[in-house]
Amino acid sequence: MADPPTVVRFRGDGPDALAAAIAAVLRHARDTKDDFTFGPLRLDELERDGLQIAGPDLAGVMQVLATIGGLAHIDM
Amino acid sequence: MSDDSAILLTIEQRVRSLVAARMQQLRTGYGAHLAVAVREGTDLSGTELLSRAGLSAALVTALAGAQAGALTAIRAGHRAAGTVARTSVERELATQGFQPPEQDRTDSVYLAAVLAGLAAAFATAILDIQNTVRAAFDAVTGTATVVAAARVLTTREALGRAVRRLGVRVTAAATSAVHRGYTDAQNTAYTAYDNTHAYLRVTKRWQVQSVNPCAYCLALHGTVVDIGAEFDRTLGPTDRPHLPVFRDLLGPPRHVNCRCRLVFEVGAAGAQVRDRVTTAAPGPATARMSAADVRRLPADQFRALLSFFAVSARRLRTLIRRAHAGG
Repeated sequence: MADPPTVVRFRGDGPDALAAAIAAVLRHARDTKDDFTFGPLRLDELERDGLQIAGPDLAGVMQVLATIGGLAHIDM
Repeated sequence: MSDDSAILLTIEQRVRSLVAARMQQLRTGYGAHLAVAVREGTDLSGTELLSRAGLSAALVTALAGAQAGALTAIRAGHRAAGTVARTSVERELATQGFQPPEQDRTDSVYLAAVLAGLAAAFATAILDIQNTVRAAFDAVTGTATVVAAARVLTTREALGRAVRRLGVRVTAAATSAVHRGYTDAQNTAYTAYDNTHAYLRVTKRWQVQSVNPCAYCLALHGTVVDIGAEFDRTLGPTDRPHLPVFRDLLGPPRHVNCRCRLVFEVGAAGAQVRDRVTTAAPGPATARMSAADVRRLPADQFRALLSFFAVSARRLRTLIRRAHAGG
């Protein structure tokens, strides 16, 4: 399997999916030693720009986000 | 300086949503009374309709409820931001072996001024709502059955416009209070440190956080003043009318939606304070976090942040489901 891209972007089909995604990313960040950044953290900006995840350790967080309903992954 | 921007944004968003909920309650609560009165008062003028005792009382009650709710939310936001600042300052000063005194639970002078302005906004809103609704009511003429239905619609829209105007003022007050809560707590803790360390000089530096700051904040960026002093109110662009400062400039916010922060610096008492530092570039974007930032968060702040997004997701899901069911 190819390495995940350095920056990935997700679009939600609603603000609920994006808020759930941020909650999942927060939990994942706390539970692992993975190195990545994420944002934006405001719901209005999330809806406008999508959720961006960047960093060298994206496999774990991508796996977590795959379980969130209504979230679509767009490669950058 | 600790980067508490993400936590502050979360607090700000929470306060914004509480204020929005209060405005919605005002619109639906008074709106229901208004719709009934409009249907019953087809032969009345707008002035006669609004002077009905029941309708006036309903507006006063709805506004009082909204004001009380907004006031509670704003005060809570100011204190929550202060707690975040205090936690960070405690960490910074722990390296100096200093523990700031307990947080003052009384309203700061700035918060008191914000709340007084809020009370004035709600008082003005009574007239604004009545005038807006009256104009919409009187603008519709025709046969009784058509008029009643049309007036219900136009007065509801008019009420919505007037409440939105009030909401803009209340939200501005709320966001300013949150960010100033952070600044106030920083100032208080470092002032206590300054008071007990006469041989040191504590200064504060204005730090822009936004990648796209306004001209006023950019002019203030890097400016250093003594801890008890105000920043220069006159700094800013000269090609437009100067944006007035609300109450004082002991620290951010310079304006509504200002994301600037204070950076405190400790030096020897004889050190010269720089008038202006223009070499440093504005800071990074604030709305992103790293996984390492998350792991560094104190447990209570992490729980608050997680809870905000988890609860928001659930609430939004319910609202969206209801909206689909209704549509």
